[in-house]
Formats: sequence, structure tokens, C-alpha cells
Amino acid sequence: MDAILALLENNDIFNPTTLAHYWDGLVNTVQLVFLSLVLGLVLAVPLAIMRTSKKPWINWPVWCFTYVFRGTPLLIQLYMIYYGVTLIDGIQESVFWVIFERAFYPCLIAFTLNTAAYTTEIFRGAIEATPRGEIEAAKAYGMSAAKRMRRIVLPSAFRRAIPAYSNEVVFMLHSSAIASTVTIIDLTGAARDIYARFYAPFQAYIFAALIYLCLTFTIFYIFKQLEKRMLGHLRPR
Amino acid sequence: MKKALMTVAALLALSTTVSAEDYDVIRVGVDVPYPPFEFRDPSGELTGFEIELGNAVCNEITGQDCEWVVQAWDGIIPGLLARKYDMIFSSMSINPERAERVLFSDPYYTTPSAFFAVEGSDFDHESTEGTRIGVQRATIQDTYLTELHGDAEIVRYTTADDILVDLEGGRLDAMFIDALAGLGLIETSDDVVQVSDDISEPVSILGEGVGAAFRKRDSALEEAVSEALEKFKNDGTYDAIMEKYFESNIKI
Repeated sequence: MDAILALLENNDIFNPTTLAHYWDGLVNTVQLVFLSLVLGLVLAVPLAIMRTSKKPWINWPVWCFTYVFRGTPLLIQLYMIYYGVTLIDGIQESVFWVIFERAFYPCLIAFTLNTAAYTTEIFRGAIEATPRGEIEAAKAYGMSAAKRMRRIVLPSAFRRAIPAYSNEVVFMLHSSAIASTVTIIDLTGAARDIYARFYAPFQAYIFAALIYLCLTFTIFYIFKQLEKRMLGHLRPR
Repeated sequence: MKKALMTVAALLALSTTVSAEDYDVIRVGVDVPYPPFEFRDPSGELTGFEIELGNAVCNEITGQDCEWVVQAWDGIIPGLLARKYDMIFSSMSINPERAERVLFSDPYYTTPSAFFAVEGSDFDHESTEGTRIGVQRATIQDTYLTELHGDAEIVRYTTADDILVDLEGGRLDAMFIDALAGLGLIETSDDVVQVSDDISEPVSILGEGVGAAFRKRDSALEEAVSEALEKFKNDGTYDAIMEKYFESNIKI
């Protein structure tokens, strides 16, 4: 313990100013990831239902959306949305400029669309894996398609999707590091600032990595508890 | 035999005190290209601001041009210490880390910094409160803004091109970068202009400038070079060379 305290006193890098900088970065990262995941989830549910439709004019547009966003790097999507829009004539005078003037919302839009695309495909898989028997039983009870979806298909699909979705949440957390490329001071951005100021890559990035690690383990823990409750019936006895 | 000769040479070098007048020709290390300071013209000859100024200095001391030794930047101080040349004249900024290993002459140029903004904007660098200013992360300009313009929102970028894009796109009120680099950058832009004078004060933040570097023991040569530079700065020789290569004033 004394050794750690001595180490803390003898370093030039981790002083109150830089720790506050890391804290700001952490707040920005958590905000961006949390908001984009919530919005992405809200978007993904209707999209996933559309994606399982047998009618091509419903299915096909969603297919296009998910394949474009899953098929291109998030970094390029972010650049297009952040730098690209400034080249549209008159955007600076339009009402949309409120959204695009700062880096935060373009970044949030890119992250939301990206995670929505992945989550849509995760839910589609879960919906299509619904046992035929359950649907036939629901039909035999005379449930309408909407009621079937609400009462039978979605609840069990959500449960089945939890393990895959927890991966998506962690991937999103890690992908959020690229927010620092468009001037947002997220956790990685803070580490870059501090690295550049002190020329100390190891200390600056390892500290950020440890915080990411803590966040990741927190997410895993939450999903573990969720799986215990929601998927208890699948556990080996 | 060779070894013996080298030992003798080393002993001679140690035993004699070298004064500036003893140099028949001054060998000068330079990293090429770094236009407009040093580059090759179409016929392959070395030219540029530092080449011309360096030749003037060598002429003043020895009566003939320098013997230029081209050396890549990362080996330029080791090359000096290994006696491959006697002086470095290659845009080396004076800083404490380097000053521990080499002896610097008086500074002979400094590149100022400047604010750039979209033409016709009402940005005023005297009152920056509430404005957004773009800067390259961890440069001297970053330190300058952080310490003197804390009332502005400072947005840090990795490269200067990105700052220009956001400045043109209307996300920034101004950018603060090296004036020469900035002038080069805005050549591609129709509506960004320099909106402040060249700023090189305070030197504690914006740097002491660029100096010639020598081995620590060659203080006689250092004095002769500093003296020659001082003379050229005053008699117009320096200005004449500078005006050939720059529109702004880099004299210090």
C-alpha cells in the first residue's frame, strides 16, 4: 500500500487535472454508448419484425439498411456523417445545423444506426428461431398475428437474444473509441491528449484500458444476472 | 594501421584547441528536403533559405561555401557528435533536451503562429470569449491557447487538414496554427484568410526559435557563427535571402 502511495506521489502524469480529464472522457463515453444502445434497441425491434416479413417490399429495405451498415467500417460511417454533411449546400443555414454543428450528435447518429443494424440481425435470428409448435398452438387459440407477435414470439425471442446482444453491447463500448477522431473527448480522446502532453504512451493508454476493462466487466455482470433470471429454464440442472 | 591513424587523429583532436580561423571549410549537416528551407532545384543543386544563409555564414568565416553533408533527421545529432560534420544548420528548434547534448548558436529564425478564419467573419483574437478555436493537439499553439485564451472553447485535432475542414464547414470560429503551415494550407481554400498578425510572443510558450548546433567543445565556432548571423541580420543580407523564400517575417 505504501509502495502504491509513493508511486502516486512520484508521478507527473496522474494529477487532479489529468484525472478530471479522464473523468470527463469517461462521462462522454458512457453517455454516447448508453444513448446509442437505447436508441438502437428501440429502432431494432420494429426493423427486426419487418426483416422477418415474407413480403419483399417490407423485408428488402431493411435488408439493405443492415447490410450497408454491417458491411462498412463504423469509422467511415462516422466520417461521412460528421465531415460529409458539412459539404451539403446550405446545411449551415438550415434547421439541421443545430444537430450537426457539434461532434456529439453526428457521432450519436452514426453509433445508433450502426448498433441498430447489428441488433436488428440479432433479433431477426432470435425471432426466426421460435419453435413452430408455439406458433401453431397460438394460431389454434385463435390469436391474431399482432397478438401472436406480442405474446408469444417477442418475449421468447428477447430471451434468446440476450447472450448475443451482450456481445453487441461490449463491441459498441469498444467501437466508441473512434469518437475521439472527430474531436470528442471520450476516454480514448482523453488518453490521447495526455499521451501527447507527457509523451507517456504506456501510462496514458493503460489507465484508459483499465477503465474500459472495468466497464466491460460491469456490462458482463449485468448481463449475467439478466441471463440467470430470464434464461433460468435453460440452465443445466 | 588505420586504427593507429585514428588514434593519432583523436589525440590530435583532443590536444589542440580549435579556433574558428582554423577551419578551411566548414562541414554542415542538413536534412533534405524540407522546403523552402532546404531542397534540390531541378538541376539537383541544393538550395533554399538555410542553404543560402549557411553559405553566407561559411563565407564570412572561411571565405568559401559550406561543405553540405546530407543526413536524415533522426541521425543528425549522432552524426554531429561522430564528427561527420561540424555544424547542424537544419531548422533545429532550440529546446532544453537537445541543449543537453549540443551547443546552440543564437536563434536565426522562428516561425510565428497566427489565427485564421473564414473571410468576413467577425472573429477577433483580442476577445475570444465563447468562440470555438481549433488547434493541433500538444503543439506549442495548443499550450498558447490553453494558457492565454482559456475563455474560448479549444477543440483539439490530430491533423491540420481536419481543422481546415471544420473551419470551412462552419463548426469553428478560427484556427490557430503555425503561420507558414497555415498559409500553405489555405492555398487550397477559397475563403479562409489570416486574421491576426504573426504571433511569436511569449517565447516561453512559442519557442526560442531555430539555431545552428555544434559539439559542446566547439564554442569558438559557435561564437563565430552567432557573430556572423548577427551581422547579416543587421546589414540586410538576411532580409534579402528571406524575401526570396517567404512572404512573412521569420527573423528573430
